[in-house]
Amino acid sequence: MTHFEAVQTIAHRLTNELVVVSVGYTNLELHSVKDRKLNLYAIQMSLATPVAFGLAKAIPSRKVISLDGDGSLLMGLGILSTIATHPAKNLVIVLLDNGCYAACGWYSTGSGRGSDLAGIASAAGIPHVRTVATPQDLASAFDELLGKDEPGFIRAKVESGPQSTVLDQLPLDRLESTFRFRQGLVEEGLVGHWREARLDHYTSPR
Amino acid sequence: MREKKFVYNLNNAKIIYNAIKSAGINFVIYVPETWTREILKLLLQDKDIEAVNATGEAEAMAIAAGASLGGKTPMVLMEGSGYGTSIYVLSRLGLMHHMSWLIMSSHAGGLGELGFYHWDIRLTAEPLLSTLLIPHCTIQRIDEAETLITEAQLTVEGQKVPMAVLLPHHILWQEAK
Repeated sequence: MTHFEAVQTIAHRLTNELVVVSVGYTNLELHSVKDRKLNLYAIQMSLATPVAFGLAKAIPSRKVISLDGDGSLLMGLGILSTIATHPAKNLVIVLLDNGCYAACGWYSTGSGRGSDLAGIASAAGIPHVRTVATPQDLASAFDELLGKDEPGFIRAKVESGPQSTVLDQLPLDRLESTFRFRQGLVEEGLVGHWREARLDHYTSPR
Repeated sequence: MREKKFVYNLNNAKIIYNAIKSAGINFVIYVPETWTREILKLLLQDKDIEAVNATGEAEAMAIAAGASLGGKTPMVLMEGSGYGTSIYVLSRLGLMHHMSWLIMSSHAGGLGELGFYHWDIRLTAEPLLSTLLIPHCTIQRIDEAETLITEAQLTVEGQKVPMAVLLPHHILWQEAK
């Protein structure tokens, strides 16, 4: 399974889920297949899954997907223990595991050298952990774990090496992505508008 | 020289807890910390406040960022040394993405600190916050606590940046009788 095939598989199955994306090519791929306000793009290494976890805690009525990478997750493995011990029943982590730092020159991550991130997630206490290597199995695992009422973790093993598909740059910067995502939450009725100062907050005696 | 024994100031802890409630905080992410222990105990007993024990300050802040984006009113409770381990998340999620959350920390290394081993916090906490242009204030008098904590949360919401409230030794501790 190529990296792009894995992203396409997930993208085609999205309905109203909130998606938090780590850095790198995943953003361009998801944007090219299924751009939507409910995609929060380009969250820096180690931070995507913690942000997704916080979001899942805040909005328990909606499924939240973390599209993370092996290099990113390895920077902050503690979050797996935090999620396992404070379960967000609506969180599914999809780990796109190519075993390397793709954006940095394709050299190996710890996963590429043999560390089993699914095993680590399972040992941390994440109740539903799957490892898949084909689009069919990824689709099946994704559907299964979305239906669970507990946190899920899918290690999607994808090919290493440069992508054959050249995609355009993300047309949103980080700030636009965040504010657009927030607006998407407002439009879905999941959060209220930001509190703003209004002129009538400041009154003086007549 | 300070030669007497010190114990937690339980009255001040209660005042700060009440101020946290008044500010509308409903989600606390905490990491190991000695000085604010009594505040944490009160927060953990409160059934209206969800609490998560994060494995480190940067993780705690990223969780708070996501929760804030999703409509919670979160606060990270930590030691002042945590700013040093959180520059990345403060600059990326806080400054670049304009995600926002309240931080409350002890301020070892502040006014009246005798422990030389806290010198790094004195050198890093406030200078780092100033360098990152992250608003911060230190509660010097306990009767300021409710105003400062409430206003800090309004700053978080209005300016869409993290803000830090620092608690020095004389606020959290008192001389043992």
